[in-house]
Amino acid sequence: MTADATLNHDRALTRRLVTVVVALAVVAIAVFFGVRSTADTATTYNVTFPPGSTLRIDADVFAGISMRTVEQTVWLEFAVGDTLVVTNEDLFTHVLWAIRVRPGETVSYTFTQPGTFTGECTFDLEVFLEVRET
Amino acid sequence: MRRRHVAVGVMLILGMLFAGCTSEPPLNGVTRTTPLHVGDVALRDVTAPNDRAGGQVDAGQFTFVAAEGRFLAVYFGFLNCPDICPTTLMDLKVALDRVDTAVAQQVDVVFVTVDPQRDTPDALAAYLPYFFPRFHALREDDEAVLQRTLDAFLASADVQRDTDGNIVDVAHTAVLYLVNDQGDVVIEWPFGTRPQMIADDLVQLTQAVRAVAP
Repeated sequence: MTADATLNHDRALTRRLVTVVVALAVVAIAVFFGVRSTADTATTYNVTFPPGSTLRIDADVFAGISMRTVEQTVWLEFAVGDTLVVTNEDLFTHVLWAIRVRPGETVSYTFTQPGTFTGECTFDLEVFLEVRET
Repeated sequence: MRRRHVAVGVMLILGMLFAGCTSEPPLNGVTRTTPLHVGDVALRDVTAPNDRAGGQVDAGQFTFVAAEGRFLAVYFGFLNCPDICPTTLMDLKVALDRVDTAVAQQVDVVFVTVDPQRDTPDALAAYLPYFFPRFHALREDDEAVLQRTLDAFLASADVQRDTDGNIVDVAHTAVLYLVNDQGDVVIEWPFGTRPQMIADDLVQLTQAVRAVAP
């Protein structure tokens, strides 16, 4: 192989490598912005059990969670990617759906799957969660 | 020389790209900053020796601490449960079937009956092998001891009887717990968590243990 041929071979290899790197960079950027846009649409809902167990089941307390009640049953609606953060400022353990929170504790749960899930609440309520695809 | 520089550059860029892509996905269950510690409570183990999985049993008492580098999958339920309990046990079975054998073998199944009056040792021995080849069946007649255990898991159970004393309903927490070798609950899977989600979490958590093993 002559010196010119070697140089051309090197240039071709370099071009090929640069192409691969640029392609990978484009994919990485697309993935990054894709993930970020999904995260941007996810919502974090904060629910607090205040001192004295005075939590009331109404829209104000649930900080924007879409919900409906039928007698002793509460339906809460979330989307995949949403996070529910439950804080207990009371002196006793409380439960919302399947999240049990000790006094002074904060527990968060991110919904990773769609579906309907059953649970309970401290106040003798049956709690259903509906988690939909984004 | 130029080729070497290009190769090093490519390696660096690929390294940076993949470094950003290898973060662990979020777990599918409830996790806590300060985990529940359940290693200080124990219940009576009524498992027949041939059925017994790994774990700490001392003088018939089972302590909620997994063997070193292993996990306990703990569930509170009762055999007459028509839906939640068998569904959860089946979900766990499917999850364990889906993961590699090495992962499944790091998990010991523990079933705690909240209905000891009807769930005799013989009944437990007949029922649980439908789901798991090895397990721990825990049955405690002493209500106070059982309640202490439930409290440690932040769980609840309520056996309701009619005026004649017959059991008419059993309400209980429908959560599957995973306990490590320190006696800490590392994750809680609410009822309805899909088997694949449980399997994914098991893979992630067992890998983390293997990664720090000497």
